[in-house]
Amino acid sequence: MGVDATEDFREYVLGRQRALLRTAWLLTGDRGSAEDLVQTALLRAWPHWSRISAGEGPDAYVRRVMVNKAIDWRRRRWNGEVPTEQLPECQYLPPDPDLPQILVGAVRSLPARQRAVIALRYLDDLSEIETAAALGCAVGTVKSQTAKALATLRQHPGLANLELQGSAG
Amino acid sequence: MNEFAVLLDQGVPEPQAFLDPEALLRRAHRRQTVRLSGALAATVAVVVVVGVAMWAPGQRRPLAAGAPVSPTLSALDDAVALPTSLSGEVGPVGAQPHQPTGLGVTAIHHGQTTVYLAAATGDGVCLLLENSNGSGVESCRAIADLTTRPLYVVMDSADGRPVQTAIVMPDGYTTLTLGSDTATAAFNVAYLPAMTSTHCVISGPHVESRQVDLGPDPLPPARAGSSPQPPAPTGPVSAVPVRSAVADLRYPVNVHGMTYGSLAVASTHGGKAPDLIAASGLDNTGAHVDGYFKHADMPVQAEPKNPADAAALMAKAVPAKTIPLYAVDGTTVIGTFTFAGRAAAATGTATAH
Repeated sequence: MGVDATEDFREYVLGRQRALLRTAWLLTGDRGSAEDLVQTALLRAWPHWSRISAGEGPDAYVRRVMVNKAIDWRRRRWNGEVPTEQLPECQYLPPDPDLPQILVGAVRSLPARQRAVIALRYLDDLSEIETAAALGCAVGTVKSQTAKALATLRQHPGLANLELQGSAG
Repeated sequence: MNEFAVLLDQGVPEPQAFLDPEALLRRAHRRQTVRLSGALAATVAVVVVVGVAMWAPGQRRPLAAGAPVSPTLSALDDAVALPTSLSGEVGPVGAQPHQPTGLGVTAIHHGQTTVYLAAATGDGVCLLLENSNGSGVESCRAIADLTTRPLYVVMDSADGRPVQTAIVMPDGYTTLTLGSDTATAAFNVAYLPAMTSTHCVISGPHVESRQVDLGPDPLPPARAGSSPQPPAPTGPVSAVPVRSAVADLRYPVNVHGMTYGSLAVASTHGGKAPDLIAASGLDNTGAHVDGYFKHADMPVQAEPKNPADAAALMAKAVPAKTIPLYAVDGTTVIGTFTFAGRAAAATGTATAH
């Protein structure tokens, strides 16, 4: 890898790691896993950096790796998950007036793909086309997953007054 | 940016930088070196093994094909309760090797035809069809058999001509080619509203293409599959699930009137748990078995009224509780399900879905 690519990668890591970490946090639900996810994505991106940075941009590739890994990790965790007598997290949210926290909690209770769509569309502000590219799926799938996710969020008792509408895109 | 996006932005914490690019680059270089060394060692090993196999006297034989990879259906990861109109298709457990569990996804919606992919007992999957004539289970298969015995349904017109087809495409297979028509799989199902041939090919960018003969349907006549009209004009197939309003979702009901399903989808079912909750427990031989436990059997814990209450409750040890695991009929006991106590180990012996 040339000096230019190394410098470019260094700048990207410095400049984008906080934004990537926020997306990863919403995808994984905790800070530790989010940091692991960002590092894993960047480590996977580095061997192909010259091609990635010359193509559609590193963000799309890194986000795609993050989403795939997050879904993969979530599947593995689900296999080992042991329930207790408690109902899912979203059912037990206290009547907290802090709407953003309630919203994030509700988003974190969504299935992995729907959560990924919400994170990319509304946190990263990607268009439906960009989100589809990041997820490696059709635009129609992004639309349907978004609709499903928003419909689920509308059922959350703490979000009854929130206007949940998809943005154009 | 609308209110939703603004609130989401506020809710996600603004982190500090945590990565040192130099350390990351060192780690990336180490990783690359290890991978190259590993790849080189693997290549040398393969060459040696192949060389020995090919040239050893009397040992020449064709190389065995690679071990088959078991097919998977990732669409079922997002399975939710199927519409109540299909609940009658959930037959008694044991009557067939694979019975729809009542959980699935809407794979295709085209005109008046809707194709559902349903999770089935015995690690199986079923194709369910709903159109103006009604609904029905078209056929079921073990997921592991999908690439050797493809699961598909051919719908006939009133005069018996095959006119439409839907085929289950395992993960990796993306394109259905039938004569000059092609369809892309959505939710692991590809659908063609017009049928010009009974020989099709399923393929994907990273899998070996397979030929599938859709000749006379090997299954009993489809109850819902007969279309009274000639095929609709070919057009773009909508792969968007039709049930965007999850408020209408209901759990399926078994023969005894008990609702059943996964606790994981309770949030999309009015926040209510079903009477029978899907879970993996242990049978009398100690092997894992999938079934349902009764909601009424779940341990009850007092709701804390304030933080002090919550702290006191958390301080109390909770004993483990073992309850019966039932078949979907809610009466046949097939095993047990254990709730791990709080003083017990962090991992338990069973999993609820």
